[in-house]
Parts: sequence; C-alpha cells; structure tokens
Amino acid sequence: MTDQRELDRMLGAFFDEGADELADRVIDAALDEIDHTQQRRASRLPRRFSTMNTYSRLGAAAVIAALAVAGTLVVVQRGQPGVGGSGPTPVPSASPSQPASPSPSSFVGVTDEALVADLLAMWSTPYDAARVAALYAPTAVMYDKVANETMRGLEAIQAKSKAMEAVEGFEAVVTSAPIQQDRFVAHFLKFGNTAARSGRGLVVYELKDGKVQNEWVYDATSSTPVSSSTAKSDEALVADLAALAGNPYDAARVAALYAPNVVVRDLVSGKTQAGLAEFGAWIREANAQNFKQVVTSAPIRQDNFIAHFAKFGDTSVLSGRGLVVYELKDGKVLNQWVYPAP
Amino acid sequence: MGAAEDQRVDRDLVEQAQRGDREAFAILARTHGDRLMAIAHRILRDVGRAEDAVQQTLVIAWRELPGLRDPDRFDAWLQRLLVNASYAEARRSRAWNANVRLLPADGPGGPDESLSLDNRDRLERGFRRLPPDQRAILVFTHYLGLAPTEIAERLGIPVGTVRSRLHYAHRAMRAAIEADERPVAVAGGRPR
Repeated sequence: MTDQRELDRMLGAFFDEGADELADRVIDAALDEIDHTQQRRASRLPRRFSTMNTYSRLGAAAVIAALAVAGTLVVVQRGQPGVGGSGPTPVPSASPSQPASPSPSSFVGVTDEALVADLLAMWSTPYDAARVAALYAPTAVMYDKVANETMRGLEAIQAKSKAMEAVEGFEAVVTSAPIQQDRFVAHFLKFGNTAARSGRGLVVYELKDGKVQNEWVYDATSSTPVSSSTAKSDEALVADLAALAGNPYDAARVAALYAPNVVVRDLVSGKTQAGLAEFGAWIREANAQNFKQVVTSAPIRQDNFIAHFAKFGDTSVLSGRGLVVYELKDGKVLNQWVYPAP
Repeated sequence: MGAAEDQRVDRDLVEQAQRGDREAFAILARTHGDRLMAIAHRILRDVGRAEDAVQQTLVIAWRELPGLRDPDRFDAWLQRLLVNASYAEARRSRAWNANVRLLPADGPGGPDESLSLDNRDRLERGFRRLPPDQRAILVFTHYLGLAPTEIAERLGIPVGTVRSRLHYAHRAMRAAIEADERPVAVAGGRPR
C-alpha cells in the first residue's frame, strides 16, 4: 500500500519533469493576435459567466451552440467538417463597441457594395426584423456547416437572429474585407460570447436579385498556433499554390508549399487527398488533362487561414468556379478546401 | 530586485496594460510565459496543446484585463485563465495523446533515485486517465505547492470541491501505481 507521504513524494518527483520554457514564437503569435484584439471595456464587462458554475457555463455554451447561426454564429467543434476542419475553442472576439466592418473603400472587387455593406454591418448591430427581411430573400437558406444546422426561409432566419439577442454578450466582428466572384461574396469573422467561448469563421453569401439567397458559415479556427509570419506575401503564396496544378509536377516545389501531412478536400469533385504522395498523384492527373486554375479575387486572411475565389479549367478533374481556403502551418499549407461557387 | 519590488513593477505593468499599453502587456507575457507553460504542460502532457493553451490564455488575458479589479491578483487571475484554457484544450481532443514514454528497465539515464522508471510510467498512465479538473488540482498541489484553500481561491471554486477532486485524484494515482506490478512491455508497440 502506498501511503500518502510516499505518494506525495512520488508526485512531487513526477511533476519536477516537464517543459519549463515557453517558445518565443508562441508569445510572438499571441502578441500578434493581440494587435488585432480590442480590450473589453471594464464598465461593460459582463460578470455573469465568471460567477457561473461549470454546469451552468456548459449549459449556456450548449444554448449558444443550439442558437448557432442567425445573425449568425458558429460554435466550432474541432474535428467536424467545415472550413477549419478541426478546431473549436474559445478565442475571444473583439469588443462589441468596436464593430470592424470594413468600409466600402476597403471592399475587394465587390460590385454590390451597398448590399454587402449592410450585410457586414448586420453582424455588429442589434437584431432588426425589417432589416433582415430587406437583406434576405423569402426563400433564403442559411447553412451552418459546422454546427450542421440549416435555417430554411426568412422566418427561420429571423427567428434565429432574434434568439441571438438573448445570448448575453454575444458579439461578432467582421475581420476581413469581402471578396466576390459573380454572385458569391465571402469574408472572415470572429464571434463569441463573454465566457471566452468563441471561434472564427468564414461566411459565404450567394446573392440574387439584390438579396441573400444562400448563406454558408464555415469554421475557420486554426488547429495550430496562430502565426502571421509567412515567407511570402499572401498574394505571392496564393499565386504559387494556384500555379502548381497547371504546371508539370515538381516534387520539390510541392514540398516547399505543402506540409507532408497536408489534406486537400475538394468539394467540387468530391475527392480528398491526404499527404504529399496522394496530392502529387492528383497534380499529375490534373497536368495530364491540362488543368488550369485562375485566381479571381484578392486573397483575404484571418490568422492562419487564407481564402480566395477561383475559376478552374474545364476538365474532368475539376471545372467550374469555387472558393479556395488554405490553413497554413509554418508557412506551408496544412489543410486546403475547395468549395463550389458555381 | 526583491519580491516586493517585483510585485510593484508587475502592478505598474498591469495597470498600464489595463489602459491599453501593448508594450507593457508584452513584458508581462514574457515574464509570466514560462510559468504558464510549465503549468499547462504538466496538466496537458503535450507541448503543442500546452502552447495552444498558453497562447489562448494570453489573448484572453489581454482582452479581459480591464476587468481585473485588483492588479496585485494578476498572477493568480492569469493562472485561472490558463486552467480554463487547458480544460478547453483537453475537451477539444478527447482522446488524450497516448505517447507515453516507455524506456527499458535499465534505461539510458540509469536508475532514478527519486522515482523508478516503472513508477514514472505508471504515474504517467494514471495521470492521463484523470479528467482535466483533477489533473489541475494535482499540479497546483504537487507542483505549485498550494494548499486547498489557496487553490480554491485561485481557481474560483469551493474549497470542498478542491479537496474532493484531490481525494479522487490521489486515489486514482495510488491505484495506478499499485495496479500494475508487471514489467512494462518495451518492444515496439504503442502503450495501451
């Protein structure tokens, strides 16, 4: 029988071993993120969560999860399908008093500027049924691809938007300029509540007749420590990535741009390649069919995620139009998604 | 510099950071970063997850800092944020990393006078089976050397809860040590 004194001694020795230094890159990444994070005003700091017990807090989180979408929110769950593919967890969003909707002048190639400006502003303003009705078509559908919820019709969207009002401290902040390809508009955002339970997402709207016909919310929470440092500018990196499949396969070039354990999920063709070997085989196949990809929007970034619209060559491998999203780790692509945007 | 002087400097930095001074916060982050990493790594047993938890903690700390009423409580407050971030990190991946270190009985480091390798492996396995809240209590007790009342105050939970978690954690760790007296398999495969 191990007595308490002996157990205490053993546990003390056990905990003596372990990491004792924090890597500079972690602090640098945190400070980089802080540069884009507004402090919460003390006078407005909600206290309710800090005094709630664990079960209440989890219950509140569950309510938030249930309310996901609508104005709209995603409660991210690592491992579920979505732009992030994995990763949830609480990272704070900016202060509600500091809506970060880009001004129209910062729009990137957006032709429906007034409509898009209203859509972006809606994330940071109180629910207004008439406003939602003015922006969403009666038959609009909102897909939360992370929480796997779908709101069909204006009333469902309004109901969820209204319900969000009841979630104390919920806030959402648009974090990138919107980009556009044809009827599709996309932007990044951060969202969350006061319990430090929050996440990051990518929102895509399909517009028709001056209103939103479809809306998708994908997870865009980094599965690796966030770092903004990449060897190349986003534009140069995206250009290099887009050129890969249109040029003869070059293992060294691919290895320089993609992590060895990269996963490429192509929702246009329904194919997934895991690892450089599989991805290389896909590139060779694309090469053989003279595949081309044209980047049609500026890249936008949030943390380790970069997104841009693209048009693809008319081949049996891939064709049409899509939204390409990359998650980077150490300057290389760790995950890649291609979503249809026909 | 003495402890009192350290605390005064910390207080000044905290107050500056509360007013939005990022440079002051950067100094605080670098000052407290190693300690946070040490705690997170001992709770999570994984460097990557520990780094994620610390990064989350620092960002949350920055955002919520204006709400900290007593700047002298910054260190304790930061540790509470870290524990919550570690819980979240643990929930994010329910399958705890199974890379338990297995070394031959006559391992490269020679005999460990304070803890046998067999016992270390048993403790490691037992610890990884604990829920995160019990892990945190063990780390605060045996690594930081805090009493239950101090832990309760630091984590914002009742002292009875601390004692209860400590009791169950000790019982599980004792069972882990005593349950498996057989030699640990070494050849190749993954630990169970």
